[in-house]
Amino acid sequence: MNISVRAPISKKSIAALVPFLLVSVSTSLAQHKITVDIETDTTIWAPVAYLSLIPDFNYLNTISYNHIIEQSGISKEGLYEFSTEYLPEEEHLYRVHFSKKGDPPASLILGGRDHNHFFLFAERNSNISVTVKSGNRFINDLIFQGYSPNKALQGINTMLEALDSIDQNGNIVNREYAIEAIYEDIKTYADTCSFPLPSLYALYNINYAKDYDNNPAFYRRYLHKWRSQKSLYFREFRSSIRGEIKPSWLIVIIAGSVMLSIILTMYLYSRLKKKNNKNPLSELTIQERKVFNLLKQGKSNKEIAEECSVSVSTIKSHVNSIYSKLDVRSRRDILDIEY
Amino acid sequence: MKTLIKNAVCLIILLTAVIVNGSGQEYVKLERSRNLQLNNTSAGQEISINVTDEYNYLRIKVEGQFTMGSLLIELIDPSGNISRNFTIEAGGVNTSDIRADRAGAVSGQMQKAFRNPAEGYWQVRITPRKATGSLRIYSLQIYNPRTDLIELEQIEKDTDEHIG
Repeated sequence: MNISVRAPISKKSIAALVPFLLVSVSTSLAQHKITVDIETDTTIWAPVAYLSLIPDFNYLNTISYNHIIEQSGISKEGLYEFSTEYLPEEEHLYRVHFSKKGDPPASLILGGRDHNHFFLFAERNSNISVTVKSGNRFINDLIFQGYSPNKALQGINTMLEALDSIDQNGNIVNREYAIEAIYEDIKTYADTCSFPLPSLYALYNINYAKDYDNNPAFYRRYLHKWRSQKSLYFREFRSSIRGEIKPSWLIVIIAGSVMLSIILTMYLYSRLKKKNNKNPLSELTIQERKVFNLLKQGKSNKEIAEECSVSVSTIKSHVNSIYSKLDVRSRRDILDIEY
Repeated sequence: MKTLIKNAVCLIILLTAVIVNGSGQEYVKLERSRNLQLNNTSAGQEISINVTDEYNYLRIKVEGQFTMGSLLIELIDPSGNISRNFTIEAGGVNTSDIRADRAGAVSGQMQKAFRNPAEGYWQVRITPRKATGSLRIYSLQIYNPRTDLIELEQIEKDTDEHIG
């Protein structure tokens, strides 16, 4: 049996679908990339840009080949480009850096006119463009377009630049106050920022570990706010904060040892007390107990031997055994025993 | 009238030259540099830089290139706060994309400048982990009564060119 099914599509409806198909095909063919439009002086800098994936925020100032994932030469248009199609699906922090001619590719310069890198957030298939504000040269006053979290990053970087400028221009008297004020601004920014990773990036730039001692409630609230965040960045942050909250292992071990000693002492004491409370006569044999009662009555060995119908030497042996078991030395001591 | 204008212009040029020339001589600078060679048995150390009120500008620069191991460098101010730090991790994965002739070599540099720096001992703390390579610690202190930023930048620039 043959069943033929005919799709009920008219020529008109096919014509209507064509624009949608074209749009979806062109979207799938469009390249997702990070485009960096920064003018580099090629007499100083090698015409290559490197892209590193920063696995957690503790590595912000670390340079390693292990982090470099891509490099780009300069295009005819004077641009550096990195495809984002192979990047991890989830959002990560990346660093783009340039190396001076003669320096190794893995080269990091922090501060000064030769500051050679910048950070950006990206995820798979992001389209990001980075340019320098007109009038500025090299990595100075960057403009990010195409991926919203980088706008927040830009805001944080502006505040961090203000921090650097205090060191360079501020006077010693008001420097500390000014730095504290900017730290507070950055913290407020982190608290109100709607993008989780830029928010956390801000905290890592104000030495949060030190600030935690002054305001642990802020950090507890912060962790609660972002409790659904499962990225490595947040896991690392959570573990460092919990490390602050948890007592150290040393304290746990010392407390455990003290508790154990107390329990052991109490046990030994109770055993000793029990032993002391025990009737000492219970350790005597029936015959010894009979002899003991006669000794209490003040009878001599001979009298006891006659009463028990045994020899005097047997009674002497019983008496010695009684002395030993009751820890006494004389008949007088036996008379003093109360039971 | 012409002579008067001519004389006035000459006087202005002369005065400007004197001021520029004079201001160029006003500052005093102190440069110190220390080179360290580290191998995989080198222990951590702290290099002190004594900053006194005789100078009103300080710039500290630390740069190194390493082929093995890792190295943490921290700049600590006299109050004990870490002002800046960086870590170099040499070796690791050398993909075919990275130039093979510099396999594993990693370089790092940090610098920070302070106007009216805190007095006392600034420390550069070096914590190596089986690091093999060289390190250079450079400090520049300037006394300039005018603390004019443009002037300080020019002195810095001259020094930069001098130290390469």
